[in-house]
Amino acid sequence: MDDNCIVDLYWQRSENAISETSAKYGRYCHSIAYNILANEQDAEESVNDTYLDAWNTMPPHRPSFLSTFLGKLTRRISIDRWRGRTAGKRGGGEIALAIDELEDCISSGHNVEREIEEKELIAAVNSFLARLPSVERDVFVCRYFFLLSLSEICGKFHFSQSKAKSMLFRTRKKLLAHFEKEGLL
Amino acid sequence: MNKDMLLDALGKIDDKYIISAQRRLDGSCRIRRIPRRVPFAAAVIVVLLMSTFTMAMAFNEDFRNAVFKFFRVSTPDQVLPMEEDPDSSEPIKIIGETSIDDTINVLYVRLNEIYDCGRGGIISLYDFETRERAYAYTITDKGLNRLEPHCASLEYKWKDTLYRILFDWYEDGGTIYADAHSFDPETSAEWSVHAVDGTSGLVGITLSYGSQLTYEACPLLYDPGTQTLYDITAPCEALRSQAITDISFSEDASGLLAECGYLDRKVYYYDIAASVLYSLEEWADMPVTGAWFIDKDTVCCISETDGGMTCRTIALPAGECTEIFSSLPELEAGAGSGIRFTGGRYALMVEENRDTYVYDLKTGEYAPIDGFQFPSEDVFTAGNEDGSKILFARNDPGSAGSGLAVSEIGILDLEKRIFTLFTREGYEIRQEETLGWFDKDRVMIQAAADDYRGGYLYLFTIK
Repeated sequence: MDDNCIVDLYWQRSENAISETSAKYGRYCHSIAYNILANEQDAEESVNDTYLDAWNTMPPHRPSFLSTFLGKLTRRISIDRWRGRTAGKRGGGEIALAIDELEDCISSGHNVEREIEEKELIAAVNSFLARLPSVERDVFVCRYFFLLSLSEICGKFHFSQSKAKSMLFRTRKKLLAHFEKEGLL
Repeated sequence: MNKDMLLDALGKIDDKYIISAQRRLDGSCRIRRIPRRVPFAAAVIVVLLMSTFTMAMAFNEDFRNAVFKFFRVSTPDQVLPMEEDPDSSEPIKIIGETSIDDTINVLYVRLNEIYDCGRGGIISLYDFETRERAYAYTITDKGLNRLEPHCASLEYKWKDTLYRILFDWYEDGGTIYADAHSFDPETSAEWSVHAVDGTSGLVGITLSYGSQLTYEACPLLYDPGTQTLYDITAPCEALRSQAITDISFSEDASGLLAECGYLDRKVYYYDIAASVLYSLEEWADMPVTGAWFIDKDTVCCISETDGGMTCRTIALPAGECTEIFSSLPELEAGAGSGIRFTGGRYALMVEENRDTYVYDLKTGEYAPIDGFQFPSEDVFTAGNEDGSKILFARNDPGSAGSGLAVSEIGILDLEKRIFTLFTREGYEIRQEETLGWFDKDRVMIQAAADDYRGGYLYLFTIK
C-alpha cells in the first residue's frame, strides 16, 4: 500500500493502519531494533511500541516519509529500552561499540563542557552531513543511525574492514573539527 | 555535550540522509561501471562445460609460431616496511622507489586522504561545497604533477526531473580526469560523471532514476573544451523509448553499447554521429548475453548456453559478423580448461595440462606462452585500457594478514610478446584492498594506511 494511504488510515483511526504498517515496514523496524538490542523479544516489543507511538502521533503529525519516521521512532524506543536495562545486562553489541567510537567526536581536550541545545546539535550534524561525499555520508549513517556492524557495512558497500574503519575514523575526526568550528565544544 | 546526547541527535538527522543510506542497504544504489580494478573473488564469473578447446580454435601458423616468451624475475618485490612517523603535511607523497633486477620499477606513494585512482591520475574525493580539498595528481617520471581543477556546473531536464550536475574535471596532456556522483533521495534522481576511456577528451554523464526493475538511465556526453552538453540519444526514439540499464562508450566516443530492459534484456550498438540504433542480437544472429568493445571498430558478443560460450565479433559500422569460437567454457578455478576474458581484445586460453595461449578475439588466432603453466587455483586477470597488456595476479589464501595479499604479479606485454612474472614478499604488512591498472603501463595496488588515516599506492612497471 502507498505510504500516503497508510498515513490516511492513521488519520481515519483505522486499525488497519497498524497491520499495513507491519506488512510494509515490520522487517525494516525490526532490523533497526535488533541491531540495537541484539535480542529477539526486546526487538519485537520495541517494534510494537513503535506502532503504538505512530498511532498516538498521527494525527496530528503527517510525516513526509513514513519509512524514516518509523525508523526514527524505532531507533529512539530501542535505545531507550537498551538504556533501561541494568548496566550489567546491556551487554556489548554494536550500540556499545558505536557509543565508544562517538567519543572521538567530542573529545576536544577542553576542560569546560559547553551546554548546548539538542536542536543546535542536530542542526550542526545535518550541516556536517551535507558536506560529506555521499558514500562517506551513507557509511556514517549506516553506522551511527542504523547502528550496523562493521562487517555488515563492509558487505553492503563492498569495502574491506580496514577501509570502512579508516573512513569512519576520518569522518569522526572531521565531525570533531566541525563541532569545534561551530563552537559546540 | 556527551556521547549519549550525540547518539540521540544522530537519531534525528534529516530524512534524506537516512533514505540515501537505506537505499544503499537495499542494494538499489547501482554502480554502473565495470571496473578494471576488482578483487580476486569477482574475477571468476561463469562456469560452463566444454569439450577440448583446441578443436574449436582457429589456426594461424604465423601467429602460433610467434610464441610469447616467459620470463620469471628471480628477486621478489619486498613491500616497503611500515613508516615510523608518517609525514602527513602534504596530501600525497612519493615515499620510495626501487628497481627489481633492473626489470621492474616499483613506486611507493602515500595518500593522506581518500582518492579515486586510475587512468594515470589520482583524484581527491572532497567536500564540493568548500572545495578545500579539490585536487588531482598525475605521476610522471619527474614525480607528482598537481592538476588545476575546472568546475563544470550543468543543468539538464530528463523525464520531468531537473538534474543539477556539479563536478570538477582536470586535464593533463589531452587526458581528461573526472569522477563524481550524486543522488537525491527525494526524487530518486542520480547522476554520475566519468571521463570516457580513450582519448576522446569527453566526459560521460549518466542520469538515472529508480532502482532494480524501475531503474532507467540516460547517457550524455560533455565536452569540457567547448563546455557543451550533448543529449546523444535524444534523436533516437527507438533507444529513448527503452529502459537503458547499462552503458559503455567506445574509445573514441563515436558509439555506445546500451543494455536495455531486465526480464527481456537486449544489447544494442548506437552510432552516436548517425543517431542510428542496431540490435546486436540481429547482427550476431544469436542471443547476446554480454558485449564489449575490443577496439573502436569492433564489438565482441558472447552468448552463453548450456553447451558453452559462443563468441562472435561485429565489425563496425557495417555490422559484419564473424564467429570466433563456439561451445567453449569459461575458465574456472581448479582443474579443467577454458577461456578467460580480460575485458579487451585478448583472452587467455588454458588447456587441461595448464598450457596457456593468448587468444586474439578479433582474428581468432592464438599463440602459446612458452614454458608457462597456468596455476590451478584462482587467478585474477585484467586487460589494460588500450588492450596492449594483460595483468595476471595470484593471491596467498594462507596469508596471516587480511586483504588481497597479492603474492605474485605477471604482466603480459602483447606488443613485445613477453610475459614477466615476479613474486612479492611482505604483502601482509598492510591490508591490500585494490588491484588493477593505474594506466596503460602501470599496475597498481592500493593498501590501507597503517593508522587508518589514509592509504598507500604501489605502482609496478615493467622496464
